[in-house]
Amino acid sequence: MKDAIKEKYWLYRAQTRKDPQAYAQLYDTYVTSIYRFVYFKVNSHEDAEDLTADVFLKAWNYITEHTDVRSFRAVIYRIARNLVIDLYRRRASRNEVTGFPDEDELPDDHLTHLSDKGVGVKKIETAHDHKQVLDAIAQLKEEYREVVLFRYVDGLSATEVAEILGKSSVDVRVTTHRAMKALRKILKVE
Amino acid sequence: MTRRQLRHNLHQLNDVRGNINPRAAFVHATREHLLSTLSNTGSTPRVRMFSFANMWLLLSIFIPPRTVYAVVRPIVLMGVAFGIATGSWVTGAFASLNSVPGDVWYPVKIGIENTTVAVVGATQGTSAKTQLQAEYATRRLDEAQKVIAEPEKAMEAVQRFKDSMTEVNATLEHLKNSDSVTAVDIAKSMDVHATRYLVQIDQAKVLAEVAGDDSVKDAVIAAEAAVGVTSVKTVEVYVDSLAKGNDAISKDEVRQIVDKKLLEIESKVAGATEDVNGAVKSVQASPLQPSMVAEKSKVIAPAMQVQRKSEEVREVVAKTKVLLEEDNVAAAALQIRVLGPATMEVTAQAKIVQQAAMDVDAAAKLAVPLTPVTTKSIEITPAASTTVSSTIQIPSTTPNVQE
Repeated sequence: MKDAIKEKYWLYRAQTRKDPQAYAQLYDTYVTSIYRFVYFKVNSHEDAEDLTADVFLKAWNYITEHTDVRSFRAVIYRIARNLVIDLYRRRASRNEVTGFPDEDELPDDHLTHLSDKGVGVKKIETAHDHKQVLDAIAQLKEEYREVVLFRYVDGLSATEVAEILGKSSVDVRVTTHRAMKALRKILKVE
Repeated sequence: MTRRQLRHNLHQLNDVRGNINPRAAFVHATREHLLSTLSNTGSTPRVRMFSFANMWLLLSIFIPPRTVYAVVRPIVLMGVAFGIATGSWVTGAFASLNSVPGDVWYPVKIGIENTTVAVVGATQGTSAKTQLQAEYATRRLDEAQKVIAEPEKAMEAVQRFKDSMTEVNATLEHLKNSDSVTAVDIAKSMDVHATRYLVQIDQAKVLAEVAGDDSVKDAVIAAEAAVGVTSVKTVEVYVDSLAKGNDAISKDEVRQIVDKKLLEIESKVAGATEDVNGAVKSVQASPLQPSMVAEKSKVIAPAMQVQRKSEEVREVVAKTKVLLEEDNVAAAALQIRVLGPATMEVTAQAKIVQQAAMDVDAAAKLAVPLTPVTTKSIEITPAASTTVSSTIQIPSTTPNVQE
């Protein structure tokens, strides 16, 4: 709670005073989780680093231009998500043009890569249950998968997820409920 | 796998992901890069310490959105609305307090007064309402004095004063028959106010005289008449109350009031007589040409009337005093009904006589240089005054005109 208040204070200073030091505090708080979030989607440290740096620059521009920011976390996750999507699009179009080998090609459904590459994913695969869960998540449709990851893996609130996805929090709750139902069905959980 | 285990595994995915960390060098370098970029591009504009926009931002950041929308925003909006409403009202009220007819704020002042009178009337009754009207009427006379040099504005203020008096008189008339206790309360208060009004009216009359606008002067005299009517009404209220035998006012109180009014009347009539005598004397002393004798009659005839009327008033006053001595207070009080208007008539006519005398005096002064017989000199000699016929002799006590 104390951290939440501190975070809000930094956000307030960054917005009203354009205070770089306050923004640096926000950066310190979120750089690791954004890096992980991005890395798990792009499976490349170089891309993850580039995107993470980009996320914080874009987020600064966003919060200084918009006064209706209530959750900084929601803002940076939304920006990170959009940048990742942009990267996929770029990669997809580049592949089409340059005709990169198939092994480098990113599948349309990027989240299926959660368990394909990367150190973290390999570690996840070591645990049977984790693998099972990841496989089940991979089988979910895009909309459900995203919500489950945001809510349970990244630990964001329904309101924050709603802000990231541009939906209402009621929509997010309903989608989460349906996603978990689908996940349970795949995993045959009673 | 149970539901709980599923949730646990989902949360653990994050722990597993926790093994992946960005390089320390990357984190540090990006931080430095960010700081330098923001410092260079942000140029940290100086932001005011307090502004409503920042205040609102602070609220929306620190208070959960739902609370902001459901509770804080309505409260803030209501507060702002209230602030604007009362703020502008207070500003308007203060700004309008010293306004006079013709000012931008004057209608606001009148509006506020009317609203206050209406509210007080509805909540505290007729007595409080009339009291307030009487207070506001004083303001009208003050305003009239301030703008006496501008006839239209002065007329507006005087007219408003007269309207207030008319309303007060109507209230007294109405209450006299229904609620004599309240009527007596109002009457007593109006007697006090009337004394003050008459002082103000006297000042206004002098100012109107100086300003030289007859319409304003006439309006002020009409306002005086309205006050006179109020004075008469108050006496009627007292008499009615005595007749009904309620405790609203005692006989002694009425006696004192009547005594006081009689003294006022005597003093006014004495003043009017003195004015008229002075006017007559000045006309007699004026070096008038024989052709201007007719002018004199314009002073003398009304002067006689005033003196006759004054005598009548004095007789009625004496009669009223006798009634008081005989303890016939009600009858004495009723004489005030007659005496009031009569006194006003006397004073008004006295003023006319005075004015006529001044006109004659002015005409005489203009005429004198032309009279000196055959000399070429236009020098005014003291001897000129001796040529004036002073055939008119009007004793101060018994008017007698000889032409």
